[in-house]
Amino acid sequence: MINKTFGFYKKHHRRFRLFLFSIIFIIGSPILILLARGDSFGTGFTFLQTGGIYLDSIISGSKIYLNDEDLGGVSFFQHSNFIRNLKPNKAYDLRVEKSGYNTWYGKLTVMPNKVERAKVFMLPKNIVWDEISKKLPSTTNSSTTKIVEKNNPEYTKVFDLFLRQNKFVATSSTSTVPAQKKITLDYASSSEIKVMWNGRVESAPEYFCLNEDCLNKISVYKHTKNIVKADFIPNYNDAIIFSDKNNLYATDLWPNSVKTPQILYSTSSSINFLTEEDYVYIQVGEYIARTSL
Amino acid sequence: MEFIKSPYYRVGRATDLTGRDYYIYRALEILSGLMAWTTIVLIFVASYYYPYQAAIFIIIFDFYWLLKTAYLSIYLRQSWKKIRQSMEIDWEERLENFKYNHIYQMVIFPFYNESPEIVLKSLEALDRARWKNNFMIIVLAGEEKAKDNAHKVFQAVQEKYGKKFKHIVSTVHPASVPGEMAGKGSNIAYAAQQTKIEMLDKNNIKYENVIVSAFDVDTIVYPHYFNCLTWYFLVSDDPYRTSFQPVPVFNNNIWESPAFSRVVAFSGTFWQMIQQERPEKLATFSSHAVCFKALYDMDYWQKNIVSEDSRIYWNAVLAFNGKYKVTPIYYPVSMDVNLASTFWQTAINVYKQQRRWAWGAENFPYIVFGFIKNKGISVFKKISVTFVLVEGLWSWSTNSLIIFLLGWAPIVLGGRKFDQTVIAYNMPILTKYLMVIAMSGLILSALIMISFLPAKPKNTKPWSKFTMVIQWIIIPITIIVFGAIPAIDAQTRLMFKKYMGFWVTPKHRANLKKND
Repeated sequence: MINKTFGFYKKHHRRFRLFLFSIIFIIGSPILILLARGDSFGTGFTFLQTGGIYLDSIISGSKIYLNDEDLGGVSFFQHSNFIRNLKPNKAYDLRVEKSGYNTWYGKLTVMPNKVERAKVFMLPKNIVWDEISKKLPSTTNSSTTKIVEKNNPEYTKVFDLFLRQNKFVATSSTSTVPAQKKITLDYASSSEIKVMWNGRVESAPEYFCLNEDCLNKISVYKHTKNIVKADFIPNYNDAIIFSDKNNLYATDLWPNSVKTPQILYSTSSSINFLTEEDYVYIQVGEYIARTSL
Repeated sequence: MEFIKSPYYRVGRATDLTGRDYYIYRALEILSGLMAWTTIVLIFVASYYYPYQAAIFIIIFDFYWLLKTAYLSIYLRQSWKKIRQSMEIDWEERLENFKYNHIYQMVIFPFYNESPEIVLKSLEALDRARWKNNFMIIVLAGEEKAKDNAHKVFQAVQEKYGKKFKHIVSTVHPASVPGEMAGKGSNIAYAAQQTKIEMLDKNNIKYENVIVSAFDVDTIVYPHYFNCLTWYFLVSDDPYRTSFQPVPVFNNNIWESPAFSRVVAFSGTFWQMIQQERPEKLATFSSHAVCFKALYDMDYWQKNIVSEDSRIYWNAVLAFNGKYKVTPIYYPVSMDVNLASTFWQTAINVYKQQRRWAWGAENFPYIVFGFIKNKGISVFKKISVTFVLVEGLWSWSTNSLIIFLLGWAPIVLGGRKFDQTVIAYNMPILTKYLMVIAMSGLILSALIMISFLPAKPKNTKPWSKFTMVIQWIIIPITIIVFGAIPAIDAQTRLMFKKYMGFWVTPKHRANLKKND
């Protein structure tokens, strides 16, 4: 009676349904695992263990190219991109472009079931430097009609900082990240910048590692001219600025990026720089300016 | 010896036993908590030492969960369809082909400190129901611990319904009876025993002709409930070895309750609807019905436990050597959504109610221990029931945690070597897609819930119906906070012998007086 009314208790239907879902589970699970591992079908019924590339810190609106193939743009909310199913044991050329920014280049070798990670370091082509004037804007004393000029205390402060730093640079050619005292920059050999990790190698930042091998000391960049000074960019622990006699440059520390340092300032005179809090200051003769990167 | 006469029939906890029996029962009490904690700890340990394997487990588990959700949603949809069909049937007309003028409906309303207004609302629904009042026995089951309130309720009911209903029995369950736990089980068992003496025996009403509906005090029946129940009773192939389970819909005060409380309440309704479609997994829950003869034969509800609603079924299974079943009735009864005067108090009450329900874990040692002692039940039934119970307890306390929280463990704990693998990058993407597909089932939940909504009170905000739909996005939170955590809490208490007492869910209806 109950069966006739509602069609209850059709046990064989329920069993069939359970069987069907079990089959989906049994077939679907290995497929999902293969997908998750990055395995795909190769030739002759073999599995190909693919790899991937993960690009981090991408500026919104950038375009990514892999071996000159356009992979599309990066949306407003996206700051990273995972390129999957890449054939392993092969080097890939990467390029990230955005109008108004220096192009980032990378060369990454993909290994089976592994992901190569790189941080995209791009700065605007035209860095805006705010001049710090030596004197404060003139004021007029109305009773005597005399022009009164005052020294700019900020200029004096930064000028003093440069004086003190020049003394320090004369005796040292290393610099440390304020937040992580364990990282040291070494440019003592004049044309090569090295970065050193003074802690346990297992806990070294990711850029000290290539594939699974991590080192305590890596060479960041070999310059064609003598490097006068190098330091970390404020608020970055994986990007540096350095100067030769006439130019100021910036580059990242990641081993898989192609190092084409981005020029931040160029002059025919001697240039000096320092970092203080969030700013980078430059000094060319009596001219002092600052920027935030 | 019949199992019903054995000392094991009324075991409430391990401490009721001695010797070897005590240790067996304790081991069974420990099992559910042990399974939950072992799972959680293993996920952390595996994520640290074997992150690759842990990641594979999580992906497979998420897939299993997606399929389980899809599988259960089929049952939910079917159940919903049958309820709608059932609501459209004229059950009175259906009964015309049967002789049913001898059937009495006994309705037990246990209460503690609930106000007379709550009880009167439930009786108002009984009065509206399509059943002859002369064939209805209303049992008002109060507690001596709140006897002043009990007498207020009795008086209010007598004043309003004394003339309408011929048979109203008022009982006051004595406080502090040795061997009893203060709670619904001991109260309704006492009320049924007293009603037998004072009403059934005195009026020569046959036990076989009385269908007992053990309700919560806030249970509101729909007009055809008793006709529908009687029809199921009459067509049942073994009505004296059957319990009848309507669909408990928590919607009495739904317009006044906060979103999380509504979602939790309806999740309970949906689960019961799913179980209705799988009678082999169905046990009695909340408001249920049973023939008085069966009740008498199994010596009423157990008095020394918390979860009397489901225990009565397991008592019967053991008492009648497995020859007992629950027949799902695709007809709803309405109850209150958990609601207190403040948001936080509501949250606390919801948590405590869920923990009390999860304390149903106390049934597991009782059943398995009973299976060991009762040789009259088939081994197949014992194994299948035990498997269903173990899976149920484990999934209640762990599944949502694995899905929504622990899925990240391999990535957080896996270390640099694992971080560089493709699976570490693909796992969050894959699990995200699986979850999004699984969550699309919530649309069905929202639709079903809308169909159960009572008329919107005048003072509700215009967008309140929209919130009834959108509220389902909080289910990942409610399923953990008011699902997994209270379940772990209850199972852990059982594991460490911190036995819980009965906690009475406070009834609060903001609009009660206004509506009156």
